[in-house]
Amino acid sequence: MRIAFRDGCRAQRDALRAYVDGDASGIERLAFERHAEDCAACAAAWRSAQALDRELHRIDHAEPDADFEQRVATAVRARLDALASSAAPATIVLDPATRFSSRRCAAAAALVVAAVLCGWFAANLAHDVAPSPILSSTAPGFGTSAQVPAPDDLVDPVRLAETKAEFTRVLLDCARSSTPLSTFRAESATLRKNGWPVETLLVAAIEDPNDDVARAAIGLAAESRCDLARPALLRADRRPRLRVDATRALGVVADAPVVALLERRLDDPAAWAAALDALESCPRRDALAALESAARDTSHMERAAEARLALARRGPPGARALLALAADGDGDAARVLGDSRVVDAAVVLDLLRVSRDAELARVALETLPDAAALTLIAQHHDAMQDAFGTDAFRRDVDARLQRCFELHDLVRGALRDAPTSAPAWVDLLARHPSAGASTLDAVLADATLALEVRVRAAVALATIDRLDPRVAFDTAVVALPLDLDAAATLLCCAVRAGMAESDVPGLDPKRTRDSFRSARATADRWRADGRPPESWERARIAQKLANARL
Amino acid sequence: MTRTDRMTTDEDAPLVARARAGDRAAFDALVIRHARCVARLARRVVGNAEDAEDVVQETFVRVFQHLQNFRGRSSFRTWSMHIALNLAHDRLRTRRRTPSPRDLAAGIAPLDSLAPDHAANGRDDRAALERAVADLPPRQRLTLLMKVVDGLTHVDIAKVLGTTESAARVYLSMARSTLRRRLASWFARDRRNT
Repeated sequence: MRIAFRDGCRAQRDALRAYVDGDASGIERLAFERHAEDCAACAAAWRSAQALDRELHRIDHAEPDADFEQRVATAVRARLDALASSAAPATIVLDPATRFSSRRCAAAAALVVAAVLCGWFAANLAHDVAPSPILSSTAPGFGTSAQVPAPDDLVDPVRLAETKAEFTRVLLDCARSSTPLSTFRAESATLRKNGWPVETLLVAAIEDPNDDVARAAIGLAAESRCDLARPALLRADRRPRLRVDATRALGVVADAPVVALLERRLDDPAAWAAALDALESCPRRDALAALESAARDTSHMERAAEARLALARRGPPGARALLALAADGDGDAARVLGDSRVVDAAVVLDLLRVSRDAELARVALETLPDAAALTLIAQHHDAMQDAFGTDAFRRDVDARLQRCFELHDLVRGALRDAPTSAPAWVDLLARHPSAGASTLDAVLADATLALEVRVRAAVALATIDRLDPRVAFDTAVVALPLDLDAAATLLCCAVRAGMAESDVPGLDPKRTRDSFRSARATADRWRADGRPPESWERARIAQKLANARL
Repeated sequence: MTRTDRMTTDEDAPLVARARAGDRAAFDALVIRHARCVARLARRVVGNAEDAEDVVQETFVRVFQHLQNFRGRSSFRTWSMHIALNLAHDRLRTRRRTPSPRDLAAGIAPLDSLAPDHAANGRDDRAALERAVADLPPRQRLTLLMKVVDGLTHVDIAKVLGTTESAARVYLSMARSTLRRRLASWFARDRRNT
């Protein structure tokens, strides 16, 4: 919107902004309102701003339902209860001020655990609830904590027990029938709607002594990335039968300390593999560092090899770590990179453009197959030459072109599928004539390719003096109506080689001869002067030749 | 400090003090008082009501855990909202996705609630405005909505976003000018109607 403000009301723009935002003082508001009475532009701007604010209120109206606050308060209270109860032993053990001896610490911890267990049993017996796997082992904190008794209106023990039993039933049903946990999520949504803290129930289920219940709960915690489950997962990690699942889940939960787990798993292949799996999917940056560290660990060669494979499976971030290893001379890392094909053009370009790490980019380029590398080089030749250095890059490209058996098919396929890539490919081949000239010949001879592409190939060959004069002449004639400059170049090539007297089929002989004579004279003058033909001169000749044809 | 901010701080201060002393009822009252405002902010970031509710719960858990660190330099509400904003961003990062404009537009009022004089062009206008708001850079969008819909001051917005007051003013100004540019025809029609 462009409003035509009067000269005198430029100063009112700030006032308008302050007025609309409610920041204007009383005097400023009065001054603006008086001004707006006289100034249509300011009044219109004011109305528009008000209308926009009204509409913003409408589109952002979505308010939570009426019992939202109560629901949140209930859930927060339950979670705080759970945290308060589960955090108590850790506080005692970790508090440096107490300076307990290890024996005293152990005794204190045992007392706390015993007290907590007594509390659970007492609570469960007092509530006279049918025994359930979850109830018999649940962590305190479902509103029955002795430290912070929850009011009855917030947590009803009977309802809570029923909810836990229902929770366990659905969890096990899902696990046993291998049902996707969508069913479970639907149930969870209902529970949450009713104010029950699903995460807390889940944490309790993870610590259930029944391995099936615990395993199903661990799976759900991983799938739902339940951060609250982290302490319970760490405890489950100490149970041998749950170790693999717990480790994998810890890797999924975002801030799990799986990195530290990896080092403790060297003696247990299954658990180490699980930790490795966990690290593969762990989004944290230090997970990547842990994998890289394991891959560098030469004291455990097999584990290092597995870590390299795990890095390769992590995609581009892992590829970068492997590239760093390969750049340090790790041949296995280079081999893994080559086999896994995890490095692609995007990785190389990312290293060049974003990281500006030419050394890693060079290693990455080396791991690419010839076809992919040449395609990338054709598209970004100049940038790569700048990054890698002219001589080394030239040698590398020459070598690739020489050894690439499928070069003809590659280039012809690329030109057929994407004619717009023709300039890049033709330039690349012309820059490396020892390996590229034969492919340019093949392109020129391939009648299935677009004429523009073939003409470009012919011009490139003419530029490097690899074009047969007769072919140059024929191509020039074909190219005349298409590209005068290219035709002129090709005709010059033919003229220099003494092809001027040839007949051009389908053209007026006299006019063609005159034009060719003129072209020859110009070419002679160029030779005598010893200077290359300027493009405008070539264009002029081509124009004459085109006129001759017409 | 604005009058509203002072009022909020004054009203919250006794409850905060009681909550800090372990009074859960006082903390419940704080939750009930500010949950809706925090939820609106969370929904704007995460894009849907369910995730927003999770963020709100997590926010108040964190608030309670760190209540001892609350110095009262800002209002309790802006402090909670700042925590909620960080948690909402964490959640987005965890899920590795950003809410689509459709997510952001979730829960929008039905079209028949529009005023009759706007009904003819209401659908297009609404969609255009939703799109334009959703396309704003996140900080500009949050600033605009916190200012216009929640009525926060520039100082409050700056504290929620963890930036300066002048930066908040700039965000708001840029958001408004971007919307004006993208909704030029809408403004023009509005001017004609008035």
